[in-house]
Amino acid sequence: MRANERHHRAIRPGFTVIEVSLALAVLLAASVLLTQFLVASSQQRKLADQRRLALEELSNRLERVMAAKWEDVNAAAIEGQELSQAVQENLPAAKLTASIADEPGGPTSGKRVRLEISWEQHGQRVLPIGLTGWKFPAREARP
Amino acid sequence: MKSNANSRRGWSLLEMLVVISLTAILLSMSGVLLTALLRSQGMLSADIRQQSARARLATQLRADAHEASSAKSASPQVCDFLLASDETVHYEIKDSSLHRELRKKDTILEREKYPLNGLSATFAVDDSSQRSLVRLTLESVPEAVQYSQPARPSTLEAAVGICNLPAAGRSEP
Repeated sequence: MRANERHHRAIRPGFTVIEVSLALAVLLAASVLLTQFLVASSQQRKLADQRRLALEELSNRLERVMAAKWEDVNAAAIEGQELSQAVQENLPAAKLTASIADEPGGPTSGKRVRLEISWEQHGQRVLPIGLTGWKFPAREARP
Repeated sequence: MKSNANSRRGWSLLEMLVVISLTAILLSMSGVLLTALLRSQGMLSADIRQQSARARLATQLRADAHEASSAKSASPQVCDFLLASDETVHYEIKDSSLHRELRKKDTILEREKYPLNGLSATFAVDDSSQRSLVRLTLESVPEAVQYSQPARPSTLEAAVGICNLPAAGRSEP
């Protein structure tokens, strides 16, 4: 009878420690992956928002350049203007650079205005976002 | 008969309890994760909708401003652009949306509406530069109804008359 009982216990169905730990490891890996995915998606969302803000700032700056007098369009003046409050709050260490090149083109020579904005994320500067516009002198000011 | 009952395979109550509680934990974990996933997807699609509406407004406002010969804002809720050939573009903020109308004398040729998603909007015309600069400021209102997806505040600036060449200039070769 005793031997019979022992025999029964030996063949009782169940899981080995290896099976259980394997299942737990798979579960852990799945939840870690999902959490990583969520974190990455929220980071991407933040980055997309920052890029939108940067592009909005550049568009506004370029409109100001277009509204300004021909003589007043120079890199120092553009870079000297303060960045908008939203940019200062949301883009850490944001920096706007302007480069102006003469664009000779027959009777209507103009200036090519390139604006770039870059900021820091996790201690690294992100790839700058740029916008280019062409400014021509007002007809009355043309030589 | 007795021996048959003894050898019946099955699980003890304790085992079943452990399994049920583990399943419950797993289900609740996946439920939390799925909810977070769905929420983030909802936020993303709301963002995309909002951004495309904003981009459409920015493109239209700038196109009108560039085309216009002058702009005037009688009150912060209204802005008028004077186009060539007696046409005017009238922007007005009412009922928490921005209305745009293209008018020729008293006839309305086009009418559009842009949702403001609970933001307050104000127009201002800045004449300090050579050409006027129209500024549309979209701000969040602190005492307004808080939406689960608050719209982002922003500022749109548009230079007036940069496409508008004098009539004599157009006929030049």
